[in-house]
Amino acid sequence: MEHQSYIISPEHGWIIIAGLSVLWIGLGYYWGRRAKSMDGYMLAGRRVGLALGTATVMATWVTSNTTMLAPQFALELGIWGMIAYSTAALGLLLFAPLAARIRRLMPRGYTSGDFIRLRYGKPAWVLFLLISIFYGFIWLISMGMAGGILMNAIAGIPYEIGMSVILFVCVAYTLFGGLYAVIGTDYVQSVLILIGIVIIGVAVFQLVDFGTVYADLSTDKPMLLNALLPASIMAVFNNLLFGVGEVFHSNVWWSRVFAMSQKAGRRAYLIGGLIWLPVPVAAGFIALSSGSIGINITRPDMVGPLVAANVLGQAGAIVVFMVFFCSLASSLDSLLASTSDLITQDIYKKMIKPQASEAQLRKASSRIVLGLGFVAWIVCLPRIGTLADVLFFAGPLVASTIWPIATGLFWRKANARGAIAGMIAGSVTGLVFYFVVGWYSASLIGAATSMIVVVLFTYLFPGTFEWHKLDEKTAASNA
Amino acid sequence: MQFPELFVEIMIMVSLGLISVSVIVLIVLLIVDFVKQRVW
Repeated sequence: MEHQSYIISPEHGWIIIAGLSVLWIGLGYYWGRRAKSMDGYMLAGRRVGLALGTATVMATWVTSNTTMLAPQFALELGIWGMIAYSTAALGLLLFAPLAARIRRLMPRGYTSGDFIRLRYGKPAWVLFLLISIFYGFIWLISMGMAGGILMNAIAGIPYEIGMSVILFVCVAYTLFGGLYAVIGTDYVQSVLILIGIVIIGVAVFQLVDFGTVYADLSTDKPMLLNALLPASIMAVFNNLLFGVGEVFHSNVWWSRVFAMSQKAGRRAYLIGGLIWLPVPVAAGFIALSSGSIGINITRPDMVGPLVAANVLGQAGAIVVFMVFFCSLASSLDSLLASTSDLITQDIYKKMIKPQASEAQLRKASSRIVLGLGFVAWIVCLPRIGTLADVLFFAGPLVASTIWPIATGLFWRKANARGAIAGMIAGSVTGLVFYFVVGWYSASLIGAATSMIVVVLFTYLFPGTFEWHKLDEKTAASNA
Repeated sequence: MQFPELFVEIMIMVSLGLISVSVIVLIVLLIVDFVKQRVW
């Protein structure tokens, strides 16, 4: 793969990295000046409008995993692979009605942990935090690794240096401006990502004869065109449930609900989901042509950038590089901010220092962003596994949280015992399937088990939850 | 049974078309929010 590592020179790579880094840090600093209070720093003032709301939802969901794994899915699972990845959009679409309800029930909420604590009590809350922080960290690592891998493969920049730079840039502007900086830069990044994907997709579609690609696939890899490939069809449901689990539980998405105005939340998730839906197909299909244009793929997760760069030359490589840098930054900054919020609010404030002042919380939040960046950097240094290995391991864990959250928001009878049992049973059975059967079954089994357990416990031990308890300050003043 | 070539080709073209429209939608939404002073 060495000859492919220098598709653009390291000098050109550094120029792009430097330009985008200065832009993100500058914009982050500019927008971050609005963050005068803790609500401003953590939740961008709670009045984010539809445009920025939609863009941040879309950009955060277009991770480097989307632009690297969607082509890998197409390469390994064919047409169903692209469709499977697209089903992750349902996570955003199904979260839209939840967003409206969350904002109504918790007008002063901060994190997804707040909901679990108020709805199900401390044991369920601790379990949920373990899953959520573990997942957030795995996602953060996969992004950091992706940054290093990309810069190495496209521009020949050493993995350790590329990974360090992307982490440093995102930590810097998230530190300066909190969620204001994150959401503001997400808008610019989402527009650049979409334009880049269209440029690459249209160019590859024009330059590579699709009839030839289809004929070559029919001859050499007919499995990829198979409409009835069992593993791929299972991957559709697995990816769908993984996506739903990721969105339903993660504070990345809850913090955006709390940040958006009452009217914008539901619509932003709906429009963001619809915009995201075609992205995996547009980003993934180019991998199908790798055989026809004779590219030797040694790392499946690099197939997308390698095909684009080989077909489009320097210009294509530069566009790919920019798309990746934007998608990495838009997800990394969100993860840093929301995971830091979760640790600041749910662990530091609720468990360690309940009387902490706003200034102390802000200081703690900044230190946690720095700490997360540093720990992620340490873990990313040894280049381990492929992105899919790292990410899908967390799939059954997050899928097990879907039902405790969905039933907890809409079903008064849902109770703590069911939520805890559902998360444990779903995670354990999902992980067993992950190791025994394969990654493509883990989330599906985890979510199904959790659903059965939660519903069973709800009927066996029906609760009588009062919704007003979710509005913590009102509930406290009434008490 | 294979996915027909035409189906795959249309799926790709529709996806690229939708993404192009999305860029315009995002820009229009920002202009509307800006005019109505509800960007943040």
